[in-house]
Amino acid sequence: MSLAIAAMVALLPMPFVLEPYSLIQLSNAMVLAIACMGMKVVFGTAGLLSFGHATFFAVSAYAGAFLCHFGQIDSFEIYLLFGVCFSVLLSAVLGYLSVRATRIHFTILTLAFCQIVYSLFINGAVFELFGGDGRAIYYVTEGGMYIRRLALLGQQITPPDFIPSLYNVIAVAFVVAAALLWRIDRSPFGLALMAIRDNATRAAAVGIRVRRYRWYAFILSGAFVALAGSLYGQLNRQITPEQLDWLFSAKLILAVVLGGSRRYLGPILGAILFIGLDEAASGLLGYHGLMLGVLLIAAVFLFPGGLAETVATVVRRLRGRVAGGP
Amino acid sequence: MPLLEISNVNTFRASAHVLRDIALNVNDREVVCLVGRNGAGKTTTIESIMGLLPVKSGTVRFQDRDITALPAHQRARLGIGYSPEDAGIFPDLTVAENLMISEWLVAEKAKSAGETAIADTEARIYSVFPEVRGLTGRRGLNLSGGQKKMVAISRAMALLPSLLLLDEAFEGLAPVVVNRFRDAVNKIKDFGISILIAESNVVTASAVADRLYAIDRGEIIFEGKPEEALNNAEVMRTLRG
Repeated sequence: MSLAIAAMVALLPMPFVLEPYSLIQLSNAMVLAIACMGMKVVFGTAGLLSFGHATFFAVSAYAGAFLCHFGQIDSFEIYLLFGVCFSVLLSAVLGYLSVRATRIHFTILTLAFCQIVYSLFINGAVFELFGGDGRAIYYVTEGGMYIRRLALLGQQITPPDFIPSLYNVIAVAFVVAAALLWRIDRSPFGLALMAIRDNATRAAAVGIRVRRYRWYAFILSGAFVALAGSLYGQLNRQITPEQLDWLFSAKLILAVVLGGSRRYLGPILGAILFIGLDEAASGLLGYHGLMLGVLLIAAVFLFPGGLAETVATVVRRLRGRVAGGP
Repeated sequence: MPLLEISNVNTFRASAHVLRDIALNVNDREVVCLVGRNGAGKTTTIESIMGLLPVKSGTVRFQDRDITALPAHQRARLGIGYSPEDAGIFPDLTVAENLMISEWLVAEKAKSAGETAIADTEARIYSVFPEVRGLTGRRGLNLSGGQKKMVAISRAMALLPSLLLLDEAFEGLAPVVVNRFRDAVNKIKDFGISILIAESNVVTASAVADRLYAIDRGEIIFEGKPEEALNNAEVMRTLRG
């Protein structure tokens, strides 16, 4: 609790300190961190490598966007709630089917589901559900969806104040998600997930409902990722099929691995590191992908167990020196 | 009525027919040893009882209930504790966390049944293995072989079982530690828990068992008192290879 308050105190003054671009990047980092926390639950804690979580990220934003556009809804809270609930329901269904398989077969199933949903958006089938208007949007945006500035707590925010206001919402969501992840990691449920990750057969032999708990983990992680997706949609004012592609899931996994998939701080540090590297690579126009690849390779070699593991090792050594004296 | 009753069990590992019409039973407050050489079918028998291997034919009954088709987690929740050959300690969890999972599952089960969970689980565990108290903060990865076995048995006890399945509980232990484990088995029995031990050393098994089964090539070749087995030249010849 005190950690959450400290994080909130550190994050709240940022709109007054940072310039707009940096504030947007910090917001993007927090959104990515929330999504990575979801990946941490399913991959780092439960040991399930899912390439399907891009679906829940994007579908959450798409569902909210469709509701706002076709239902003439202007409330950010309704957009967020509807998107997250829809996406969590989808994760419950896809998770129920996916956890019937294990290891690589589970991964392939999630990848297949992800690409099925991606193809439904990229070929316009989902837009067709909304008739001529939906078809028109599809042809104009090529499968993307524009999301206008929505009213926060019933208040229409003027454009200059919108990003700082949304930043505050994202900061609260980030702190709440981080606190929830902290609870999960230390709960008997979290321990049971770790036991399943370490040895599913032995976990079953001590009475853990392996498949059921894997399903719960999948849904829980889907909720984190869905929340991040809705926030991303409003922050960037659009959602595109790019976020539906399995490569986006790979990006989340990469960020979690970079940060340290088994450490609590792993997804947070991984998201910050990934956004930082992406930003550094964007300086080289035309070579962004190449530069990002080189930086990622360097990061993997520099932080073999993930950035959080390296930080923990450094802290341990410093403590050892302090305890050992001069 | 026996606590555990196995009748005509046949189990395969892939295409290999490992258990052939196995029949054995364990009564209330009884320590039974299943003795055999490596590869005789001891672990397969234990895993068939625990539900970790599917039984091709035959029945497994526990507390007068047919559990042949039940998955492993349901058997554990019914009261069958299991300590595997490799101890099966979750390496990333501390000893306290390894135990906490079982205690949590017991509390969850008691809650759903409208009962209050028994609070003295830890006291029971520490009375059998006082050493475990000093290991609670240590990760499973950093335990020695003997410590892992102690924690595995403690974790199984934390489920408040009626029956404990111990697979090769004494294997790889120093003689002094083996004596320590024998005492532990007797203490566990005093708590009213029945025990089925898979063991390759007939002398060690005889020291703790009330009854003994000998298994060879997937078939039960002897059932009786430990001293009868020790005096049976043919059984001893088979068990010693």
